[in-house]
Order: sequence, then structure tokens, then C-alpha cells
Amino acid sequence: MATSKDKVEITKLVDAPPALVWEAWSRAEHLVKWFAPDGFVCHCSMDFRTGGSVSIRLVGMGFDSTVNGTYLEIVPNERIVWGMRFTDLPEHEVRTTVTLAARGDQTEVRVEQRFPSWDALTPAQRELLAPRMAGAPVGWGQTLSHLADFVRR
Amino acid sequence: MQNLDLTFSALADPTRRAIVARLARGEATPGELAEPFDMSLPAISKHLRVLERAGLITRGRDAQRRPCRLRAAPLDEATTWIEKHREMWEARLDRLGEYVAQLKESRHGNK
Repeated sequence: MATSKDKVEITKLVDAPPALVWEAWSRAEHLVKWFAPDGFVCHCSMDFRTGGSVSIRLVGMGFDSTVNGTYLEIVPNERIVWGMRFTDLPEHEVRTTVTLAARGDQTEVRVEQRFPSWDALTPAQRELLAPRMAGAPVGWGQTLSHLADFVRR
Repeated sequence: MQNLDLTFSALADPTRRAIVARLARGEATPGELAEPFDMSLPAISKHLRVLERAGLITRGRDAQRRPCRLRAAPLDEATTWIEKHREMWEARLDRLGEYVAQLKESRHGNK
């Protein structure tokens, strides 16, 4: 798994063919079932086509945040690229690329997310972004293990 | 704010990451750190200098032992930022896998 300071890459093998995995990404009623961390409710509206808009709201544990974005590229059953911005931090785009590849009866799902370089953020922006990036209402000062526990709960 | 470039380039090397992981359990001398790696003391010292420059570790003043200690602050900043994303996506793709498996099951059941 590659790690740099402004990019995360995650790969996972899912036990279903690409068409089914594609459905889970491309329809709001499916996406809301798995996108939010446990303990959160996800609301989503999407116009799933290249250039279409997408809005995802996460609510839970005293936390309510919405990201708005645009689908930049959609290749059916293969690839989705979208850029998202927080409503109150519009100058920073988080770009996510999802790639699906058949592996026998399974599908390899690869997610690459590029986000604003930490160095480029002001302290105020860091305060704003940090807890949200985890999808969790935890303070910036809390430790990673707390966060990991929280996410896994 | 520490220089994240230095922190990340220091941590780009697997040996140095292993050294940091070892020091997370408590301080150690260069000799103790060299043991599990099958590396010469000068080779380990080179890695330690890189980690020290990045502000990731501090070295004790005792000239004989020079024990190394983890300096937590810059690591927290850099790793938290990245790990938050990673943790989030790992958990999310786990849920995706479970959800798609359910979806597959329900489709099969309907046929």
C-alpha cells in the first residue's frame, strides 16, 4: 500500500462480480448502506453520470457534515473518479478514484484518494478538516488508537 | 509545525519504520536496535541520523550508550492525517464487502 503525504491507496478483494460492486457505488440507496462509519447515518443524492453532481451527508454522534462533489469520470463497471469539497472549505478538493477489476469470481476494489497537502492548510483549516476526514467527531488532539477503536466500533 | 517532508522521507524506508515501531515500545541503544536487522552499527547509525534530523527521535547524552527515544509530536501529525484517511477507507471497504455479499445472497435467493 503506497503512502505519501497527500494520497491514500487501499485495495480490497470483494466476493462478488464487478457488476454487483458497481451497483453498490452507483446507486444512492445502496451507497448509504455502507459508506458511513458505524454509528452514523448517511444521506446521499447523486446524478450518476460524468459531470453529474453528488452530495453526501453524514449525521451521527453530534456530528453533521455534508460534502458536495462532481463525478469527473465514469467508466461502467471499471472506474469512477469524483472530486468533493466541504461546503465550508470550498477551496480544497478531495479527489477519489475507484477502480474495479475482475479477479476470478471476485472483484478487486482499489480506492485512491488525494487530498489537500497538510502543509498547504492553515491551522484553522486543519482544525476543521482533521476530525471530518475520519468521518468521526473526535478532536484533533485525540490519539490514533482512540480513533481506530472508534472507527471499528 | 514540523517539516512533514522530512518526516515522510524519513519514514519512507522500511528499516526506519521498524526502528520507530521498536522505539514505540521504549528507548533502546543503537546496538539493541541493530540486533534484529542483521545490520552493522554504522549502517544503523546512518538511519538513526535521518530519524533524528526529521525530529522523530532524540538521542541520549550518555556517550557510551546514546539511547534513542521516540519524539512523538511530528509522527502524530503526519500519521494521523494519513492514517485517518486509511482507517476510514479500510473500514468503509470492509462494509462495502459485507454489503455486496448480502446483495449477492439476496439476488441468489430470489432466483
